Amino acid sequence: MRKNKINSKNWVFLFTAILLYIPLGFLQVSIDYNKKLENLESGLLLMPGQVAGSLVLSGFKGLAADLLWLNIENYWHEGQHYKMLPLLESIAWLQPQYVTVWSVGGWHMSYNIFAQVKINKENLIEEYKEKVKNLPEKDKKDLHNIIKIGEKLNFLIENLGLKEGMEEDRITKLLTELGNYQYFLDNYKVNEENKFFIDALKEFIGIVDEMLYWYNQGIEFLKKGVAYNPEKYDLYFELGWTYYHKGKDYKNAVRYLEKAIKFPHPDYVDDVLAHAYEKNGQIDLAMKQWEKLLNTGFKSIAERAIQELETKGKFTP
Amino acid sequence: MRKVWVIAVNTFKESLRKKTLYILVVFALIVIGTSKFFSFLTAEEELKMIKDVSFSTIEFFGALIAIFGALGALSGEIEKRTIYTLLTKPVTRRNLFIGKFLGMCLIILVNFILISLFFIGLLVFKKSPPDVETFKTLLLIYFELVLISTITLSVATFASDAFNIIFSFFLYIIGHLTSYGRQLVDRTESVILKGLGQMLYTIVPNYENFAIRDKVVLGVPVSWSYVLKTLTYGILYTFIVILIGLYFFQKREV
Repeated sequence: MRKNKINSKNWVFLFTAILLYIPLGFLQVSIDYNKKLENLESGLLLMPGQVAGSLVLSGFKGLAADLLWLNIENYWHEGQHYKMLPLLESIAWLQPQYVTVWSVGGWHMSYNIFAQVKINKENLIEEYKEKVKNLPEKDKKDLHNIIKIGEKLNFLIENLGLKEGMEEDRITKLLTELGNYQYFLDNYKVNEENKFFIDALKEFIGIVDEMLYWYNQGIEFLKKGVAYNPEKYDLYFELGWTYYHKGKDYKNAVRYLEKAIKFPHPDYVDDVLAHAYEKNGQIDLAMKQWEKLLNTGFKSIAERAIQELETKGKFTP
Repeated sequence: MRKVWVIAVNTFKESLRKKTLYILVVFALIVIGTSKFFSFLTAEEELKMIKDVSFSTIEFFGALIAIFGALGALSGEIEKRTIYTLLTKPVTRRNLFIGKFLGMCLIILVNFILISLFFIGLLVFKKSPPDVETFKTLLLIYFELVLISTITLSVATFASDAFNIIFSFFLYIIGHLTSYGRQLVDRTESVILKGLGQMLYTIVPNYENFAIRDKVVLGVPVSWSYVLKTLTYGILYTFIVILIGLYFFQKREV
């Protein structure tokens, strides 16, 4: 009799447990809603490496990201820039709200790898210049068009991202120009002796093409970061700065810097925006922006900028 | 209630005699301590790494303590036959089970406080004292550990230790993957699969609810509403597991 009583009570435990799954289900729905609202959701991802993979599986995404970051540090110090790329992508996927990884990644592509492309071919560039210098006058005349293209390409390699801008329409034009050069070189008849020049120029086209590619990759990486962190100034600023400093694309620089100042930000963001306005030909807005900086640590620069803009119409070098 | 409390205190004292728990705590402290040596990174990255390593260590070693502590708590009594002595006294199985559960909560709490204090000390040493978000994270980790421990304790009422260890770890991993599973189910067009997926999503403990540490480290604010809902989830789930454990423990032949 007593055993039966215990058994019937026992079923109550199980029945209550099953019944309680109903409010638990509703609670989970509510928690999921909060997760979505507060940006606490995890993205679906695939991880390279077994260690990182198992860490992710056990819910240690942050730790996995840190381990990958330590590898990035190593590759960085060893100068193995290209090896950093998949790691940067992985960390960004692991922790999309880790702003540093997006900004370091974007900068790394648009600046370091961009420069590395040129460095990797420095010997070839030097050899080409030397050979052109030592060409007999007759050959120089024969190869006149080739030498001209070489000069243009070398100029681009030397100055792209420094004196030469990379505005969106300019990139399109440059790519068309590179295509034309490629076509010309493919169909250029040259004797075996001078074949080196054609091959070198084709390599130069590749360099410029790759430089433009990495600049764009950096921009795209930052834009992806912005999509994950639209409520922070950081990546808007990084984008604006890359457009301003590396691309000389002042229209886009202004566009993103204006977005950056909509969120809490340090004063230097306003300072860069003031410069960007001026470079973009929006002097009135530049003046207003400098006026905003009169009550900040940038006061002396702002005063000088306003004075020079009023008198010379130009402040930023 | 007094009987339950006596069993809880005894479970706690017994666990204090186990060297395994001390070793785990020492390991945890060493791991957290080593995170201090990432000074070659920038200050911001170093702090992120200290927090990541510390939260993960607190959770991982906490989970080990929760699983291994709970594993021995009940099966130890059965193996050593001390359960006969206990149950012949005016102690019901319910008293024993709940006493063991409370004892486990105490063990986890003490170890948890010890490791957390070390972590907080490290943050203070790094001139970045813990904020409210850090405490929210720690609170949720504690409730996750209690849930892990309760599941192991309940499984111990009907399964062998070997099965229990594998099951608990497997569930720990699956529990952190439920959100991903949900995303896959959402993409399925089959109504049956969707229903099955939803059912599994509710039944399997969603440990990912408690894992706010990755977000907190990155400065993402977590609302009190979320914390309270997750705490309620943890308490409710723990209660369900206790009921299931009681059901099997009452049925078990000892």
